[in-house]
Amino acid sequence: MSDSIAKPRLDRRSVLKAGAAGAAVALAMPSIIRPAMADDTIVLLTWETYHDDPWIEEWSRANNTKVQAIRIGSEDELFQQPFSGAVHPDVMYIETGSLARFKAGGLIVDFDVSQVPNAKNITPKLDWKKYASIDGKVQAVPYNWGTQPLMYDADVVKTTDSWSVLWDPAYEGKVNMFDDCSLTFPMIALHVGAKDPFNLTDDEFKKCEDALRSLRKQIRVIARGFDDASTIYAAGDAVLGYCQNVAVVTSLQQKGKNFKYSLPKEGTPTWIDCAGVSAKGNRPIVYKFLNDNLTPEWQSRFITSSSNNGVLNVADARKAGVKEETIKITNLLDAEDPSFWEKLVVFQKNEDLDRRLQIWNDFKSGTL
Amino acid sequence: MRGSSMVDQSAAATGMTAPVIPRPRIARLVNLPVWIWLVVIVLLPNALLIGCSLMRISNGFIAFDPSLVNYQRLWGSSGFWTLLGRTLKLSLVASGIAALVAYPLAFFVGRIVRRNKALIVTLVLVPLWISLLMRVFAWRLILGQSGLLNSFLVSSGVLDRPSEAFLYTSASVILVFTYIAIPYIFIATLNAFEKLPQSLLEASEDSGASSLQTFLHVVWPLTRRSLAIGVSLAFLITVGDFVTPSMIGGIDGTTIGVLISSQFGMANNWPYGAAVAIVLMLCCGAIVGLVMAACPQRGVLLGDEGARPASGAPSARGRWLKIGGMTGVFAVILFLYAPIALMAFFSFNDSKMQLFPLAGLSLRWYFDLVHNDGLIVAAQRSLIVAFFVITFSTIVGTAFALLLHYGRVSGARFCEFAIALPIAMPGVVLGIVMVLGTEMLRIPSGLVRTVVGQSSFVLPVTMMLVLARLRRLDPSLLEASLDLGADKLRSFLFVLLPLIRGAVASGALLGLTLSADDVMVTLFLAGPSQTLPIWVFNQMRFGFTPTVNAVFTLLAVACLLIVVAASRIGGRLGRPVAQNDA
Amino acid sequence: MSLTDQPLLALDGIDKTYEGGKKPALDRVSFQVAKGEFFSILGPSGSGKTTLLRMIAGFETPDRGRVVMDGEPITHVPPFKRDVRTVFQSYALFPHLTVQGNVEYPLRMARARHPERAAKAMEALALVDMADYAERLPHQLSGGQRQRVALARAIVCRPRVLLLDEPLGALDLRLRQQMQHTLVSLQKELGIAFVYVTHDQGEALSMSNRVAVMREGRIAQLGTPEELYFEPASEFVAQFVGRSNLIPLTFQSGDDGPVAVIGGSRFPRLTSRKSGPARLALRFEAIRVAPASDGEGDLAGVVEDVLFLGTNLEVNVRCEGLNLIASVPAARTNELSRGQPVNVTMDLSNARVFHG
Repeated sequence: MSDSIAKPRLDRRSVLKAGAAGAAVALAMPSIIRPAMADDTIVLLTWETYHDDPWIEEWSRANNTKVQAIRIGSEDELFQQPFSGAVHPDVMYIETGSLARFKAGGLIVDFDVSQVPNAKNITPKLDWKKYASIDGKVQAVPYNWGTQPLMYDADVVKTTDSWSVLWDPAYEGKVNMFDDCSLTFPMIALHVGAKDPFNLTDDEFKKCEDALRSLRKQIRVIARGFDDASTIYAAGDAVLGYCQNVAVVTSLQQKGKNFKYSLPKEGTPTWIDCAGVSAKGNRPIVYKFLNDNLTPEWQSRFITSSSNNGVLNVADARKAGVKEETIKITNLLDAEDPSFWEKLVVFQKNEDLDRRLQIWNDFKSGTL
Repeated sequence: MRGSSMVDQSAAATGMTAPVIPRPRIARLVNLPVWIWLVVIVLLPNALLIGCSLMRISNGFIAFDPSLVNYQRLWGSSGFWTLLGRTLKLSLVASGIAALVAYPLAFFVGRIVRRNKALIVTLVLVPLWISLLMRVFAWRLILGQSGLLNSFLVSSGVLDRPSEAFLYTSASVILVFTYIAIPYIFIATLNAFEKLPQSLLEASEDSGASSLQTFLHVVWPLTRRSLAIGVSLAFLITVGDFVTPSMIGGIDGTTIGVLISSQFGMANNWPYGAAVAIVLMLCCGAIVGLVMAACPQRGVLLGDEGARPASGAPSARGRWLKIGGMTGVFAVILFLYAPIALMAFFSFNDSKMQLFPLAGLSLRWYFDLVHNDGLIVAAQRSLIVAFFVITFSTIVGTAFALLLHYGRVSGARFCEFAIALPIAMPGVVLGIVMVLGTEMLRIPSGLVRTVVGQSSFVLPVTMMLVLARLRRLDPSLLEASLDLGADKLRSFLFVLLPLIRGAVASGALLGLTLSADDVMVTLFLAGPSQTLPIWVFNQMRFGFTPTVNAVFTLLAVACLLIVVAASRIGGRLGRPVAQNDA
Repeated sequence: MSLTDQPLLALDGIDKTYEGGKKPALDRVSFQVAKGEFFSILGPSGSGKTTLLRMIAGFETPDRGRVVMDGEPITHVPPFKRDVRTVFQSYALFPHLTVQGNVEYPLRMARARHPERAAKAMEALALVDMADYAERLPHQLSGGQRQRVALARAIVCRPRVLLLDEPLGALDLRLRQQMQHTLVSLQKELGIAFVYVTHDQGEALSMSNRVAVMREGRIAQLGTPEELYFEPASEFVAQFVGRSNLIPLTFQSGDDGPVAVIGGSRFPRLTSRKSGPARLALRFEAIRVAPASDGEGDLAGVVEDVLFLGTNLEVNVRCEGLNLIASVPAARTNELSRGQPVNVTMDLSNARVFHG
């Protein structure tokens, strides 16, 4: 009869429902029939672009060990993920300034360099053991390094030898920064002439606050990542700024924008991302993975794909197949010049991150 | 006096022998799932959060030293108060403006539009299915220095040179928040308008009330609670989102979520972050409470609930109303689809950069799509997660609503409020809190954890929608069914379900959009299993490929095709909506 | 009316207090309903009659006491397992089912087969004259039609007890009278016991075999309509059932025991064993009114107003500080008018005296 339940009816809702169910089942099939996980799994807490899926899959097959990469994009996530227990990584890629805090938090253990013979491939110009050691013990091994220079639109900005150009009223509303206090604060400290940008005196803190206060009206937007930064610069919403990664300049150049970077005379903050292992990750297969990460082949692939510096010297990189055009857009050539290193300031543990963060947050909220 | 033999009061007078019967044990047992959910998913994690806020940080470790030191620090921090004020203001103003747009729109669509109603409703909903990040990103392209709006204004001679006033200001944040809020408020209020009995409006007019008076004294009191729910939902969704304001508002778009995130992140000062989060939640709770109190619900609509189309011949005024209304509908739909259209546009652009002018026409991003394993895996995972979340939340949420409504759960109001609590939590905090909870329960990170975490805020939405529907039902319907010989299960299947399926379906749809678009909570729970929004989030930050545009363009086109096709089919079957859902 | 030894339905010492309620909704209520009986529960709103009905239907469980059906205690049997059907005050028709769908519903729940279902439903609909509306949805029906559908739905399975919760409340007078006839004839035809809840004494008296009058959760009186009418057990019943004057009087000690004094006049015909103030319940029709010129009466008074009720007149007479209402046949309408002096005579044969 006309009973509305008994009689199936093709209406809008059933069409939607059937469609959704069908799609869900179709898409779910491959993961259901996927073979069981390999026994031994290495969990990486790594940065975007550091470990592309095909590379780790290749390594997994060769070593019969599954590798899972959890990719993060900000220092906040680097802390949030392991400290909350959201992930239990075997390997973490930590910038030298934060190593001490991971050590104190018990997330990493002393690093056994003897199990990574390929550490010899790391360019001797990179004085990494000095920065990656705590109390004389090595904590991590480098995977990549880079500078955070002053970047600018060469058509607009002419004087680029000092950070103080960021404070130039001519560029009001056209300066860009990125949102990472531990990486931006040292630049401010260098600008105000702090003796040690990682050990500020109260007086120097005061100067930094003043500098940030006057910097605020220069800045309209803070970038949320490399790609975000490129978009902002490309759209003309910024013409100069503190560069998070030289890759931003490179990508702008590829789009035909006349962007350049310079190393200001006060010093350029420089990071070295190092792989540290957790207590759980302190096992031979993990060291094998890290060792394989430092082969010229692996490194050259990484350098080519990300246009980052990796850890090779330029000769080894060339030998391993990195193309000249890639070498040109990295710091590999610069790194051969001893005077280049004099302009760099490698991140170190700072005196009081909480204080810096409070100032940085006040700067952003406009209440400094 | 006769009849005392019939009135068997002697037994009563001599002292009754029938024992006091305790309530059947089963009646208490059925509440158990509600309480378990409450304790495990809501109370326990929140207790951890509150406990954490009373701790102190010492040398990077949380020290057990209960004190109010974190709250004292908050109290003295002008930065905190500024951020809190700004965060609440942006969301409130945007929700308010969105209400001003969505409420009349819902009135028009719910009561005046007769043909193509379903089409309009779904058109308003489809944008919710396109990644929020993508739409926000597109707004930047519209509002930016070299964006669409500036190009248009400059080329048409309104402006001499591109204005900076459209992007990276508080106003632009409010604009985009309004954009986010409109569909939610529209959906929440539409139902109330549809269910408004025509006879009440006629009764009011009959009593000599003008249209305005009818609105004030009849329409508004009967729809304001739904509006309050919609506004609260929109408010809570926007207040926890700190990525959008920082992308759209620039440095002035810094909101309190950033502060919370950095305390749980780089600062690694959880106690302080927890204190900030708790104060934010209390403020949100107070605001939602105020909104709800300002819009009380009185009475239950009984019986004559059929949505009857407005009667009477179209008067001149009615025609103008209709023309005005349709114009409004088109304007809103245009507004909702502008960023999506732009996204579709760029999916055919032969450049990696999302910039004007366009580089040339190309389909390469669509071809890339097929080979982008990361994307395909993420999309699959998103669907799987959404499927489980929706199935779980719909079934359990409906069951909870039935229990709370019919089960005479003691403290039902409290349960309802507490279960809804996760909706009021900022994403970052909910993420952390769910990690704490799932860690304690030894639920491994990945699919299960993500499903549990997302259900914590999807389930209450489903539950509240179903509960609202149940409260509007004539309570004697269920009794009639039981009385007529149907047991509880069959009463549910044959009577309740057909009556509430609209609410269940809209709960599932809303849940799907919430699940499919969640970044913050999933970020913490997914571990290595990225879902699509997280993949997009990472793309935005490190190497965007327009393939993402292509994906969501395809999704939007598919949605729209289904919508149009379904409304055609529905139209041919020609079944009036009024008869289907009472 | 035939009362067999085994009552069909028995309520035994039912107590019920709602959560948060101060006064009990039901207080030691017991009664029995015989097979095929038309049993009414009469009372003002809030007297507990609907609670009682829901107790029988199974929607409420008593705090104490038992509900017994055919000798079987069913106190904790869920509603869908009781052979009891209810016609709800709001009708509670399922808005998403057609008229026929609604009537078929209980059959479907009883897992009846389809052809049988349809036949029985149509039969039930025919009984209430609604067969032509089988395809309609409830909102397309008028109030009276919905009422009849609800009735058809309740009787389609031939339950042993049918509960009716003020089913005629929302209907107009004509429809109500029509439905009263329908109900009585249906009840006779089907032999189902009806438990009928109402606040309308007219409905209760005209249709029922027996009536229980409820007051504040207790049964004030239970009996046949005649018993209630002529021998009310209390002032409350006297006032609620039928239409009575309540006349204050005093019994003063006399030679033959206490004798009634109304106003200033003594009534030797009315005596009591107890002296002191009391009240006399006197039906309207037990008072006769005659023009003063026609001779002696019990009391003298003046007509205040006259209501014409068709077959009867209601005459309000003011005498000695009292207002008495008399119901007199309409034939003598021309003899009584406002302001006219009259003599009032009381027929005390059916009068009830309440002390205290």
